Amino acid sequence: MNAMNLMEVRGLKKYFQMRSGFLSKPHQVRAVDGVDFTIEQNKVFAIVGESGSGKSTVARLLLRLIEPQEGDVLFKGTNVLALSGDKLKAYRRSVQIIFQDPFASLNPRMKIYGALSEPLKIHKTVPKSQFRERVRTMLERVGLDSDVMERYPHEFSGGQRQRICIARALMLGPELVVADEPLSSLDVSIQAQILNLLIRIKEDIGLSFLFISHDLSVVQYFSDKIAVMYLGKIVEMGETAELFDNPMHPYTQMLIESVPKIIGAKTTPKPQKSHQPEDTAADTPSPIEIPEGCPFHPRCPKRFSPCTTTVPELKPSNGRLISCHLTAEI
Amino acid sequence: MTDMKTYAIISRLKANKMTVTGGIIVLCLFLAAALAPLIAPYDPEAVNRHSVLSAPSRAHLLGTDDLGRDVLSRMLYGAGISLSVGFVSVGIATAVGIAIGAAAGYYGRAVDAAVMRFVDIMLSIPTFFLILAVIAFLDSSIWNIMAVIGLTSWMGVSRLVRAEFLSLKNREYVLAAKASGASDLRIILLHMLPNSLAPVIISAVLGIAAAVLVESALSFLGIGVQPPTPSWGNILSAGKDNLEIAWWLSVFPGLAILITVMGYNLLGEGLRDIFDPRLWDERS
Repeated sequence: MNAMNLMEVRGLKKYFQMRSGFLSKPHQVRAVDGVDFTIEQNKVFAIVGESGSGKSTVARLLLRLIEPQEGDVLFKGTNVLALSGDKLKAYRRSVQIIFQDPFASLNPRMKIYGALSEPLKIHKTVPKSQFRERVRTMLERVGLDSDVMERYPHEFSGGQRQRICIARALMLGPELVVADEPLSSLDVSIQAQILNLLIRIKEDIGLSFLFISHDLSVVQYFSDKIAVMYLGKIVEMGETAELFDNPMHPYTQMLIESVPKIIGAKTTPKPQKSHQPEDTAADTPSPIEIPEGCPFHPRCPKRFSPCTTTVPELKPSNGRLISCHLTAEI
Repeated sequence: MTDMKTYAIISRLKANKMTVTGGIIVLCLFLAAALAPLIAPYDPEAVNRHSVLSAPSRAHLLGTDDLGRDVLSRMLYGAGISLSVGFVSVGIATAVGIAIGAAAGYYGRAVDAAVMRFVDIMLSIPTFFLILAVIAFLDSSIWNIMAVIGLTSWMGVSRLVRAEFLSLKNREYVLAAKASGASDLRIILLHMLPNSLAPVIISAVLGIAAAVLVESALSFLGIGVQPPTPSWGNILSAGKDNLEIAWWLSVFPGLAILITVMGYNLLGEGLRDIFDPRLWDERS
């Protein structure tokens, strides 16, 4: 089992210091507050959560685009956070990222050939004479003609740009691709195309994915394992099928409830209205002022006395991990 | 909707008319400076004791000065001096400003704080008096003047570049380049700088106008370009002693400075309007 672990994340924390004025005292935003998970080889690990849950921060931490306060990130057993120089460069060949907004992820003043050949130029994995051929092959793999090479990003649609970004992420032959909401800013019809492209690439070259999304229907379709994040913490983590069949954390239940249903799709039990306290808040509290006790309690329809005072721990229960006082009671 | 469109068209035309006017003025200046040796009717340094302080006439279109030198010829040669001072000093200011602003914006935190406090200090010194003080110690060769103007006027550029870099730093394509292992220098030169040049170009064009003014002022005070080399400032300076009897000595170089500065300002302001993204939506 352990041999198949591609990436292990332990106790990862990232706090941002915010200062509203010159003399005001700085306050902390606990974007990622102690997160542990494991990505297995050739599997798709998904992180779901609302905006502000810290899921994109996790992506940026794993890629060393920002540095954490605490924690370890192990890639094939080596600590990524201690890497520098050539070893960091080698790590960057193995782990690549696809961003959410395809309109912001390509340099507007660089031709497509420039964008795709840049990783090759930096890493010199192939001689310069082969750059063009490599770029052409990769463009074909993502379903684009090779004549796009001499064009600028603004000439392409969102879906085409996302294909280009996927091609760029694959240029160095990575083992793990972090996809940070790669479908969220695309049209629904295009989303399906891009998702199918990702699935095909995963099967063709045996990639592992960290797939970050707030769209549960996509996650249900694509992922093997899911972690549900809420205000910087994982509240429930388990195999995708099991988690969708029987969501245990009230927050997971709420997320699955909120997915628009298509007739014939599997339905999940409605939340018991009688349990719902009258003053449940509707919105995500800001990560600047995380509530005491269980961070989810202001919105939780099933909260009871310990929820407002004690933080529930993430504990194994029924073959998955869950942090809720309810499961402890059961 | 139609109102918006009309407004957009008008503002666009206005911006373009300004830019075109400014561009033509600047172009004429370039031609005058480049062709000075061909079109100047006299040697700018040739003294003629028979026609001292003669009024504008067919022989001397803009009159002569107190040594009988032809004012038109001197001004044509002076154009080249003014323009090269403008360009070289702005070139120095832009290069220094980009380097400092880029470092502050890209590295942030301590580097940013230190660099920006230094910029604040530089900005709090009255530039013109600093230039006077420096020129008093060095010789007032044209190269020293260019260097001093350049090294005292980079702060605006550095602030612009810093602001652009701060907003570009977390743009996805910059992060993608970083995730690909691109070096800091590569990210700055290939990904960030090309995307933050528009405001820098505008400020450079406006900066040339300011530099021309400073050079004229220094020459007027007698510590800029030294006679007999002609510059608009020192022609003007010679003119002030004879203002009552030879108005042309002061008026024509003064007008030349005015038109030059106006030309660069029109061009710069016009470019600013063209580059302003708030006007883009209305244009399409």
